[in-house]
Amino acid sequence: MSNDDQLDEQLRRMAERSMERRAAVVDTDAALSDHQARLDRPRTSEDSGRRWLAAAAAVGVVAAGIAAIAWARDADAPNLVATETVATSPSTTELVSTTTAPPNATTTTASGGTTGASASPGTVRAGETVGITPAGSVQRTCLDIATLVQTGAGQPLTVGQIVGGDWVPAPGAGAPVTYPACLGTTSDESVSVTVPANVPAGEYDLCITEPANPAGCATITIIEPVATDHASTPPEPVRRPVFDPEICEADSALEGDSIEQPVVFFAKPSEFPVPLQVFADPDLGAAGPIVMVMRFRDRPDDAIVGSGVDENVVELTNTSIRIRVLDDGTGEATWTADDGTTGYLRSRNVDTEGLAKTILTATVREQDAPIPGFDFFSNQEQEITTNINGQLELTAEAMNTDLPGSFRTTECTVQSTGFVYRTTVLDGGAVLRVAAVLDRPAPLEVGQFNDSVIIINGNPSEAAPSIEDLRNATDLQWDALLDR
Amino acid sequence: MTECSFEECFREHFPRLVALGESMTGDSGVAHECAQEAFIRLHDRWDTVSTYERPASWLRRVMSNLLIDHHRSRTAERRAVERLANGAPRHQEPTRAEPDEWSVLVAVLPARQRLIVSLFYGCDQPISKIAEALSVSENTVKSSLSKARNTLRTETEQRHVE
Repeated sequence: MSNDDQLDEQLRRMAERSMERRAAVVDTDAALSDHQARLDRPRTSEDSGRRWLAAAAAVGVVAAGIAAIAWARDADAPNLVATETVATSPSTTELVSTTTAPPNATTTTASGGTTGASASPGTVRAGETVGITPAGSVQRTCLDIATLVQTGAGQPLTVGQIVGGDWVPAPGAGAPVTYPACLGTTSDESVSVTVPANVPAGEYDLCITEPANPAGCATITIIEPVATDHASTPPEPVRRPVFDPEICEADSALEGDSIEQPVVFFAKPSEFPVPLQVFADPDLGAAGPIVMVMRFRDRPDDAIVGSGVDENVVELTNTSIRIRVLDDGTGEATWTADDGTTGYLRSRNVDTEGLAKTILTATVREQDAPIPGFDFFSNQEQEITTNINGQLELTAEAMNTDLPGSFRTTECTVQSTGFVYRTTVLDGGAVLRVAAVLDRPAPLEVGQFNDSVIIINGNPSEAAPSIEDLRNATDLQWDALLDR
Repeated sequence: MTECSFEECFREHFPRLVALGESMTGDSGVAHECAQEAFIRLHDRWDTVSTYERPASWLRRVMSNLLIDHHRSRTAERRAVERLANGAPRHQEPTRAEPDEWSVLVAVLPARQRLIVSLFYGCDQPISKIAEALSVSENTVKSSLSKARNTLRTETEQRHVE
């Protein structure tokens, strides 16, 4: 047995013993009860990504202590316990008066924008941290969630939440506002909240409780972030990606403040604007398995992928679909739609079956639709099963004439191998982020932070740099790299 | 397709997710919270995930991402607090998991390497499955595993000498 094998065996024994011992002491009955209690707390089922707890529309509703409305479960969801709706006091419970806000509703703080907590400092740059001291003991929301309520002129409006350091905008004006289905502790301790770099500047009430509770809300002013002279590392947003020279020495850099429209992907220009539709895991975004579907009014010759390539061909009545999935996980498919237009898709880490299901459920939209792509119908409604037991959803769509974004790219060399690696940070919408991952050779690694996607391309190697090694270049370093 | 009910699935896999979380974070409270969140998500998607042969793979993937997200937010918060003048740490104290030989050993590793070695050695996951769970390439996993193994070799040798 080699030294490596001996070490592996030793580590395996140690880890397995640790895992078994830890698993054995978990009180599963208590955990199951806790789980059931969490499920019984009201919440909406529409938001498959971040779960938000339904917020009280006004303090009067809270004070009335009306009964909670039980979460309307899917009919197929497992039913663990009977659901009870109870009325509880707002001072002791988290979800009293929980309800789904009606369309066009806004969420106000208890006193219509008056806050009881204090913020230090009162003015903070996006990307920095603010300390919130509640006015007494308050019930925190769980998993480090804080809610931003826009104040100033007009009716206070809940604009989004800071969830685990990420900015999660509210689903849309008038959309239901919900909280997560779990709770934090009850405490009067101060809490530090890091404002993500992509939170819009403005005056807000920052709430570490539900916004209806003024004791947990403090007024803050968020101002635009400024560039820093100090090198920094993830998880702070990487804006100018470089590695330590020992890992991969930076050679040059390129940046673009805007991306020329229309954007042509996969070297397939078209006379007409091209609709783009993205399937992704809502939690993983561009970093997970992804599919981008396009529909061309011209380019009928693209109806066959890779002339002479017959493998992985799926033939259907009245429709020919060509699908090709490579060993590196990238895939493409094309088909002729019912109206003679050409459907085309590119994918990453989705198998042939998953792509076929997507195409089989595609029905053309009218050409005068805002996004004249496809509708996807199936028993699961716009869901396809992937080869990694994941679940993809139609998460975004846009025209290729409307994809604002910017990018910063560096090239670096690993001295031990001589391999060159290209790292790109691209800011933009969900469609652009996914397209950027697909419109290049299979990447070594993909990461997503807020509205940015980070892509590393280059030769696979044990010495290859990784996203976790990235840091920001200083202003001087970046300017020097741009000049090379 | 799995044949276990949701409750059976919970009883079988929840303790393992907690063990994985404790191994990664050293914090029993965070491990339980993330495991609960993973099962909330499983509950939401039970009609789909229950058709899979191995729902445990799906659970591990969700748990891994929750743990990584948690680590990122904790790290960001800690660094930001440290930058504040006169800023005493304000975040809540973790509920320490009982340390053992393994958790002490892997505590020297960066977070993602810690997760990878926990999945590889503790959960007997092959590299391909870990790559799936973390949505990175197999080469990235191999690279991280190699770095982690070198670190752990040095650590175990030093402990042996001491």
